[in-house]
Amino acid sequence: MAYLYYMKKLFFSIVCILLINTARAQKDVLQFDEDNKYVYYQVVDKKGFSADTLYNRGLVFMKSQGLKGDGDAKAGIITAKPKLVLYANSLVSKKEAGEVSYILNVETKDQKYRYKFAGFVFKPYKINRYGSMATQPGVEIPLEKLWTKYSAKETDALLDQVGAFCKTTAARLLQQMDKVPVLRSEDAVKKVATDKW
Amino acid sequence: MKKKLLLLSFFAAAATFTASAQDAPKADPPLVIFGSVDTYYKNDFSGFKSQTGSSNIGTSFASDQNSISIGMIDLGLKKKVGKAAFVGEMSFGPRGQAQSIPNGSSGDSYHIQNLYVSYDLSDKFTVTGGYMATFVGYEVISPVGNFNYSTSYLFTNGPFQNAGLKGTYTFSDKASLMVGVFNDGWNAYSSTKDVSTLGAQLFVSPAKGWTAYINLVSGKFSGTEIDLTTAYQITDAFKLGLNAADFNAPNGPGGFTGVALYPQIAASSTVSFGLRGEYFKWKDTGAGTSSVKAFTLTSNIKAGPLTIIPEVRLDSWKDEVFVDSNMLPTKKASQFVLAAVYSF
Repeated sequence: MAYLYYMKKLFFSIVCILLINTARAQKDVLQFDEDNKYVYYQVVDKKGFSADTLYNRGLVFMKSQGLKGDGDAKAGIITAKPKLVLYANSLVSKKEAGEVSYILNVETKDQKYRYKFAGFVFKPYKINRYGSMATQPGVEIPLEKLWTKYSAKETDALLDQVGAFCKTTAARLLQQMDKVPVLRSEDAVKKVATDKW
Repeated sequence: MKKKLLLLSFFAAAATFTASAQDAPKADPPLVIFGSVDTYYKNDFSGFKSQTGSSNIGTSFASDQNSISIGMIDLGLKKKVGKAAFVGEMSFGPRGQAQSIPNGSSGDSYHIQNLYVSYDLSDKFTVTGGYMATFVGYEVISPVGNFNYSTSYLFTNGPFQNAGLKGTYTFSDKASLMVGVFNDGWNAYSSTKDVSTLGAQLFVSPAKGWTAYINLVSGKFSGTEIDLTTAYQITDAFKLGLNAADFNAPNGPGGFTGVALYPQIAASSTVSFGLRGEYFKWKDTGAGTSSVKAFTLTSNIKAGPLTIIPEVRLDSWKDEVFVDSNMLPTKKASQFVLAAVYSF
């Protein structure tokens, strides 16, 4: 009977782990806006900071990420239209599945700012004659419609990558806006005396 | 035991969250393995089977009459680190060997589809050198790159591959220009005499979903071909492609000219239909000319990485070049092909 008790406990632990894993799904960080389009959006209060300061920090962030941001200093808006490569995992290798173009918008006001990742459009890759992966002209799928072209598993895998990317990039943006210095641990070089033995 | 289970749960959860931190995509993609496998069955409706096992319609691949036959296994590796990249792609099987790439004169038998290196000198200018799939034409050797399984006369008679050095300048996502020097002979790993073929490709995208390539390959040894390859994804479901080419043989008259139209429609996310209508004409070499009209109706049925391709084809030559079921000369031939292509 004791054996059965521990089996129950083990089963409970496995279920907990599975639940944690499910909660980890990065696609869940994406939200739907009023037009039923995927967005990753947040308004952040920054008391004591002017719109100009936040705007300049936003520009620094764009530059640090290699993004070409179009800035409108008067309106306090920075907009970039980059793209993100998504991957498909197979048993033996990982290859490009396509790219997602999106719009990253950072808008600043006195005491606060907001950012929005939106306009996600997936452009699937197809292998071309040179063995390179390339987009297929005219084939574009809004992220919300991925499920119409791909299986639930494939859709989830692609959405997870977009969610993870947004989450990571937003964290970097928050860090830049807070101007928290990036701490790098510097490991001391280990030296060994080879002349004494 | 209870404590052990709790510890196990804790470590599993920690490992799960730690793994999630690694999810973000990396800048340099890892080494990629890619390729395909294809197999087919063909039946020429005349029932004619030649001594070599082929049948009436003689365009590249899908050649074996009344036989379940193989195309090729194609295996490729590629990697890009920073600005430098390589692609190495090898094939084994009739489609990738004797039917497309001749063996070397010394009997060597390696079957390269692509073997090149490239370097991005800037965001807009890339230099590539090695043995590459040709830049000319609509269709390619790999069945993954074609909608129809059988191939056109324009493809069969044009270059398959060119070895050379080329530079591509990208003006914008709507225009680019490639210029290169290539070995004198097509479809060979090394030159016959020298590197004297000029190649150029102008790419323009006049509208969203519309691409057009104007190609030129010209040299004393292999002749001159001018080619237009264009495709327009007009709606989500409908795509129209066109290939037109004119080839002048080296050192004298002869060559070919032709045009092929490729309307394709997607009935669903997994099933699509396409027609290839082609007109192809041999130029006069003094003994007259000959021409053919060929119509191929193909369906692509996708099941993940697997594509099933049923296809019906009718070719009609100006002259009696085929044989019918009574082995009498005829102008027309028709065939059915059922192919399966797995891409990875």
